[in-house]
Amino acid sequence: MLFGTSTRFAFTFFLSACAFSLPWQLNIALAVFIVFLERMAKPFRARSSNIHRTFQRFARRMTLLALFIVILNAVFLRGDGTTIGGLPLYAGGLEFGIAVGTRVMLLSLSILLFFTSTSLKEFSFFLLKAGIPTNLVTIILLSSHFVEQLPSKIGQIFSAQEARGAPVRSHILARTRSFFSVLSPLVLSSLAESVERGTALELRGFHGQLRIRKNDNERLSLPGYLFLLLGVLALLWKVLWK
Amino acid sequence: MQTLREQFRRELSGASLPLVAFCVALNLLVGQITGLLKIPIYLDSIGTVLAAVLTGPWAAVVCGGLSNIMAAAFGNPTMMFFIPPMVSIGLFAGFIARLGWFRKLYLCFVGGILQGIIASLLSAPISAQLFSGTTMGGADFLVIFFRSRGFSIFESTLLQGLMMDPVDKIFTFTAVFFLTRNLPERLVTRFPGASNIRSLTS
Amino acid sequence: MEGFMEIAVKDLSFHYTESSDAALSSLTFTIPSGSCCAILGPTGAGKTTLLYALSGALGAYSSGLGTGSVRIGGEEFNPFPKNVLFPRVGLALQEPHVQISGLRETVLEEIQFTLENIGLDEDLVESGAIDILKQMGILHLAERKPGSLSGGEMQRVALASLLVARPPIILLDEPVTSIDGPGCLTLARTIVSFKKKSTVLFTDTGLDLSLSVADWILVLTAGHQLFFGEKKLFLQNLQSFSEVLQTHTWESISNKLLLPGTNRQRRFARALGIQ
Repeated sequence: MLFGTSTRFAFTFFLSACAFSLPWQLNIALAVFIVFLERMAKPFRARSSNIHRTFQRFARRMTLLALFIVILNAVFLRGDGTTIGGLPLYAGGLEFGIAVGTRVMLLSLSILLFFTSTSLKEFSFFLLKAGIPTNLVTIILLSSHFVEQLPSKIGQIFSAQEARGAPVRSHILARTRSFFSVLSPLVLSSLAESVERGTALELRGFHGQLRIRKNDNERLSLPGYLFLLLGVLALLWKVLWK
Repeated sequence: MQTLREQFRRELSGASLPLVAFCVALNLLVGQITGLLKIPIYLDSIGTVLAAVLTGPWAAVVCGGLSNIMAAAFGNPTMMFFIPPMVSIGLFAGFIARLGWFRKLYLCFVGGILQGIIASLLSAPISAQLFSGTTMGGADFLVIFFRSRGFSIFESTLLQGLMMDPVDKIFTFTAVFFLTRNLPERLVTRFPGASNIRSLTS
Repeated sequence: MEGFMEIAVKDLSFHYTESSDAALSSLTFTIPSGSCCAILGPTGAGKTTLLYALSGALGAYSSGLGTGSVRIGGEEFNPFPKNVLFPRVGLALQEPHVQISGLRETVLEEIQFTLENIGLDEDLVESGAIDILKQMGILHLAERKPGSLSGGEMQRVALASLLVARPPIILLDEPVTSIDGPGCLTLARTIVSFKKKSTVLFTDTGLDLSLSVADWILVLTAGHQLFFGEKKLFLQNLQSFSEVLQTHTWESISNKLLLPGTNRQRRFARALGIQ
């Protein structure tokens, strides 16, 4: 596969390197390019419409954050004291803010692009192939499972505590005390479940090893090697020459 | 003395493995609980501290790091940049847990203050360098206030962190104290950090 | 093969560290190879503790003091296995949702996970998983996410994830808790089909499944062994267990619903294909 998980990871590394090395104009262009890729390029498309909406929501939020960074620095960072057209905005601060804002935007979007286009299973086997210890990968998979299952459990505990008369909708001090009446049963039941899960995993012969199967074993493609190389060169250029 | 590898293996096997996974999920989902109750506290490292107390510092380091990676995977990639402060929480909480600090409430209080200072010192340069101190959260007003008073980006971010992080960490550490002190011994003894929270009967 | 799957327990006792009462007290019984034993008793009788002890999960995950001996397939443990004995002994836990590993995306992959852990080749992993899904009548669930299953479906998938390894000794902890009537019948058929090739022990709070498929009955109360013997002997002495087992169960039995020779029992046995 030309743009498998490894190659997409290499692309994210390349974009991250560009965020630190390239001028802000190119960073903006790359950020726009990422949004275009997420919409149009099959290997980078979000895995579901919900994830696509998450990506879009985040892209909008990052744009606002970048603007906020720009304005904040333009207002407070004097630099050499040059103002912009009589407004209380400093040119040095503006330039600095734009550089920081676009860098943050490109970094964040590139990371998000990787995760929205990569399923947890693909990510896990990518990590295993990269030599990450199995128990760490197991934790990632299990925690994802819990993230799916726990919200309904939390809702149930909240409703149960409310039904028992816990002041979950009272004034702030009472609500803060109710925090424990929700958290405590959640933690207690989850601890007990952890013991059972640990037992259950071993009862199915799992001792910390996850097998990589043939079709999970995709390799880094030529574009992937190119991205890695370009990313390293960009960082070297930034460190040594700029 | 166990090697680092042996310690990792001890803290990340058996029942500890699903526990650490639960603690990662707790870090990500505690916002759901505080949201339901409409209380303005974060506590997004409560799972890391819980893992530190019940398993150990190295499992908590893993918990903290993976929490931020998972947060990025679930739609908040900026969390990836704050792995160092989160890892420091796991290490610090794990080591003071070994010293028995989680058996006394006042020591949890002190631990929370110290951890808050450490976390601010680690997160300030990241926040200042990458985000100019802004995250589009409520704390940004503090940063703006300090910058308007002439402090640099780094100083403003550090001061904001020193005002807010210790409070959040005090809440977190004392919450874990109250959560763990009444756990049944039969449950607690299944985890490597059992002696961190009580003297065991055998 | 004779004796390979025999379970022999002698004077088995166990105390959890944190409890003063014995969880198991001087249990002695022998279950022959290829037969099925139902473990009956009220809540807290020690049924689950006994299954954990036989599977090695108790030794591996609990702290306590055990005495006596356990002999599984000719191998003696004194007092009981200290490590989990899978795949020789397979234990299905009471809560099916903890048995689902959470490490796989679909039911089929979840079943394959067990076979991967044993170290089978990929072809056998794939075919073995499909076979057990067909046998359990849940092939239609293959591509479903485990988290989206109902309680009964999850219980059947959890069972399948254990039975796919074809363990010579199968331990089931309250396998009918979340299962409806038709599911119970399928489970009974599955146990009957596994019986000759494996030795099966299961705990039960009711009597329907026990009387339908079990050859031997073990009755526990407060860790003590009240009865062990063939099903026929149990039924002849049923009234003496009416206080230990639930009264309404005695009433339903006293209405001759499932005594051997009754019409209902014959219909049930025919439905299972064992008569």
